[in-house]
Amino acid sequence: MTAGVSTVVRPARGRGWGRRRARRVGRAVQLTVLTLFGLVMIAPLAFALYVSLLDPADYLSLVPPDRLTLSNYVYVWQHAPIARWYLNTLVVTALVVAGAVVVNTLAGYALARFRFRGRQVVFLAVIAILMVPLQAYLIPLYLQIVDLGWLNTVLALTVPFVVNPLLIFLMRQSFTTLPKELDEAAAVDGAGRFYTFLRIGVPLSLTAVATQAILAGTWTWNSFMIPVTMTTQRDMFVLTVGLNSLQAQHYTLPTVQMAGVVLLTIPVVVMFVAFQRHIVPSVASTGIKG
Amino acid sequence: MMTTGSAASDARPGRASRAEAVGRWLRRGSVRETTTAWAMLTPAIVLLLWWFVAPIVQSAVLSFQEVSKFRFDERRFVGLDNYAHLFADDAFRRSLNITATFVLLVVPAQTVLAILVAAALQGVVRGRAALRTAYFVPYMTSTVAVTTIFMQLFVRGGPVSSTLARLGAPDVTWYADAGMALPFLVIVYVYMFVGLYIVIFIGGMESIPASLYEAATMDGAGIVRRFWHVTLPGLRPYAVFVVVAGIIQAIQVFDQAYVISGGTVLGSPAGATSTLVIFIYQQAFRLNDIGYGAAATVVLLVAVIVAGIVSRRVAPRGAE
Amino acid sequence: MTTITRRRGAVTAIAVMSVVALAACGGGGSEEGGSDEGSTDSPSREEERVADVTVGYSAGSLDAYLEAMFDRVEEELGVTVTPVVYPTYDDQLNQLPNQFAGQTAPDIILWDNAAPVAQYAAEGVIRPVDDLLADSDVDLSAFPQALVDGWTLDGGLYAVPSYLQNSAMIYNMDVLSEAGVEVPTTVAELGEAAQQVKDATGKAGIVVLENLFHLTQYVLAFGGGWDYGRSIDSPANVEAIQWLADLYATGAAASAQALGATWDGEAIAAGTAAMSDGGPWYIGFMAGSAPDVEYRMLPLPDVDGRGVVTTYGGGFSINAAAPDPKTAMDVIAVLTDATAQEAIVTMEVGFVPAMTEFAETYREATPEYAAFTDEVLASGRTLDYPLQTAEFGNALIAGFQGLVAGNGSTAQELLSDLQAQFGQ
Repeated sequence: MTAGVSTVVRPARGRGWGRRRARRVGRAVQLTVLTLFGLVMIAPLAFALYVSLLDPADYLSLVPPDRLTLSNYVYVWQHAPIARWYLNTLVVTALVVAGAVVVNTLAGYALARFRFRGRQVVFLAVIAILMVPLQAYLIPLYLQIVDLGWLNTVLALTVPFVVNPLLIFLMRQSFTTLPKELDEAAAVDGAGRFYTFLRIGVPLSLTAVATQAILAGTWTWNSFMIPVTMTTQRDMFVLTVGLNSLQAQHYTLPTVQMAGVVLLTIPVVVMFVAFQRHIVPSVASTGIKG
Repeated sequence: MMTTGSAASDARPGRASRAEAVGRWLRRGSVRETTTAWAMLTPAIVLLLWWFVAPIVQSAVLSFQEVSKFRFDERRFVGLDNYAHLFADDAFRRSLNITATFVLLVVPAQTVLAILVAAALQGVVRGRAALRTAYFVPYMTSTVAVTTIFMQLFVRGGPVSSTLARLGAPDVTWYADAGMALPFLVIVYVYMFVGLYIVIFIGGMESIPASLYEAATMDGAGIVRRFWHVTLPGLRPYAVFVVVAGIIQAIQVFDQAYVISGGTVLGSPAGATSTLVIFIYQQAFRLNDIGYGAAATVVLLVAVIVAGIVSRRVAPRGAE
Repeated sequence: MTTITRRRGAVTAIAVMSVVALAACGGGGSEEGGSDEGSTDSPSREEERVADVTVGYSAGSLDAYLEAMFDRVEEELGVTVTPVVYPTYDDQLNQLPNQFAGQTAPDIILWDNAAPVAQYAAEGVIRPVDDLLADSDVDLSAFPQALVDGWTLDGGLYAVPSYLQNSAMIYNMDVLSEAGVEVPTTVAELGEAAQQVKDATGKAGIVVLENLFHLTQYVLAFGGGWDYGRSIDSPANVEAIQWLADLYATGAAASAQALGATWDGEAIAAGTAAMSDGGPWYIGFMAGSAPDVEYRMLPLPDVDGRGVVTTYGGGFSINAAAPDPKTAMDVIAVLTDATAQEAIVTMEVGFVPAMTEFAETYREATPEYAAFTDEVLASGRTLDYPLQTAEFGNALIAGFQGLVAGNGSTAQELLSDLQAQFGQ
């Protein structure tokens, strides 16, 4: 679906060739600008990759390829249970994403498609909750976790984060774009509201659901404040916390830090790419609506 | 759970007119609707109450108390003392100013940039997925990493800052200069977040039916007019999301400012990056004055709720 | 079909989980922060020796060393040590108050320096150890007096020293010779040297990591000190702060941030600054990150040229709510005994052992540390921050940054304000 680009070639109004060439040049310029922008966006990660391959003594200088070294990654491997940290992070992320997709999608749909008393209140409450930064209630949250005995467990890192007001908001907005006629048509055919949700609402909003999964996954994977507060044993660290602990006592090791950044970010990028390939076909297959 | 669609099956001959039967159907539908709606909402509501509302309420309660740093059971009820102190506190007022400025700079910048890029991307067929991934990379990279790298770029004499200095910007280390630290923060933040909004707008644009564009083209609309009359209206719910979410997230900016102040007092330099959440965090965690930090949070929350209510009155179609 | 059932199943599962969890939570009562675990009536349970002790410390250079020491504790006492690890020392300081509030703080805490201890001691969440010393194997005379004094507050000893830190002045000899400057011996010379470096090479003469510790070194160099809040606005302090701010104005001094460094060492290593205050931690760092840079580490220049250092260090404290302080003390004794002290050197932790005897061993193994003899260390100043250390540090640095940014205030005004706020 190439929305936004005219697929109709207008017949020449006497200036056909000029127009077509202009359009092609315009398109080339567009592509160049977009690519440049893309390069700018990945430059920092590329920089991190480069620094991670430097010997600490070479930090912040440009070196020929033969001086590049994997010593920082070796350092990480030797000084940390990194495999365990990867595992922890994967498990936590998978659990949160699975839960989030279910819970937030349900809530978003309910807020978007049903008329019921209290709808406004719930929606406003969701937005209000969104406004409160984590730092403001982290301490009561911590005490709650302690009271439950969930410290240093997977539960502390997953259950509180399955529901997310921002994702509910996202799903709601996405579901509001679906035409109401669909629901009515389904009702006429005798479908229940929930069935309509599952068989019609969700498949048509797969992009949003996928976006939700990506966001929940990225947030959980990169989250630091919660895991650092809720886990105190090295084996229970997630990647962010663990990699942050790879410093000398009184100073950071920048090259090791960058190795940590690479180790932390590359999996997310890979997951994103893999997921993307999944969305595009499904969007195309749902066909044209309306 | 099947709703009977036909009013006729409900009408008993001679007993109810069709209108009444339809009315009964509607009401039955709406009761069932309410139940289904609440059922679908239940997991979210339970979790929200348990993990968000409960700690937030507790925090609000703490705002009326003076809490001993180390023993939470040793609290003194001090009523509105924390709030009085808050409003007299220059640092708090300053943090409100800084946050407001930040939001006003960031939200338009990232929204407009995201729409333009997403729209431009629609015209690209090959490489679209690669570009989309590239734009999203900063959002996926850890804040610490991105901010640290930007710091290197904007140090006095660094690649970006010296180029900008030649164009008239002050020749300083941006993030260490009281005047340029906030612009630096804005740049890093927009850089990190624009990718997210690009992805969301792309999703939105892909949900606009191609038939609408074809119709517009038939009517003789050029690129700009197609954008204005087809794309933008179709993006409205997503634009609302991006703006509202953008404002909310910008108000809560913390990570980038935290990294800039690494090793030294938060809000460096000289409080120029002391945003609202930095202020709250500093009170609660560095200065261990939890009641005070909680009071600031409550003020934030109330301000936002009031703003929300006011904006609904003014523009009732608002977030619908 | 299976998608529906799976989804519905998932929804039900979550709903059930929520209900069950809520029910469980209902009994927890999150309103009260104080549960009854960790009661403080431990003295009467002296006869019970716990088999398990938690030790909290921040990750970094000490990891391997501490793990080895914990194994020794297990061997010698039969007590298992469960480490409570914080990613960084900052995290440790951030988390501890919450942990005390939630009664989850470790039994034994390793501090990097005595600065935060005043608050914790005043609140009574860590206990003085004098009464436990008698029955333990700890011999305080093996440590420099300055160290022991540093851990003593109001007549009570609050920690047993583990490793030693001291402050020093670091000189990047490459930059100094480039500027044609000699190593200064007095603060007056220091100021001149800094200015000359700036004039001759354009680089910063002094780099300052703007936090309480580093600013305090300059205060001490001028003969001042905070004296736990009694002399915040003393003339020597005012002179020191003003002197530093004046150097900033000409570019002779700059913050680490402004030089693109995350801490002062990076600037010294990169050669963007000539001098900085620092300590033994530079040795390991410079060896790894700037092995070709020639540098020297000497006592800080003071007013009359004799040199001054601060002697402080890491130490182990006992949680006031620890169920078995006696065992905790025994564990600490093992963690700080001669074998442990020697291991600091042999395991190349990069720290200086606290025990004088082994500090000597370290000095012999580390030529860069030659200037810090026993006499120098023994007569070192202690960190005498005002009691509300975190708040004071915050206010001082924020005020100093404002001063430097030219907000119109003076050092005198700043310190007088601080005296009024935090003095005693």
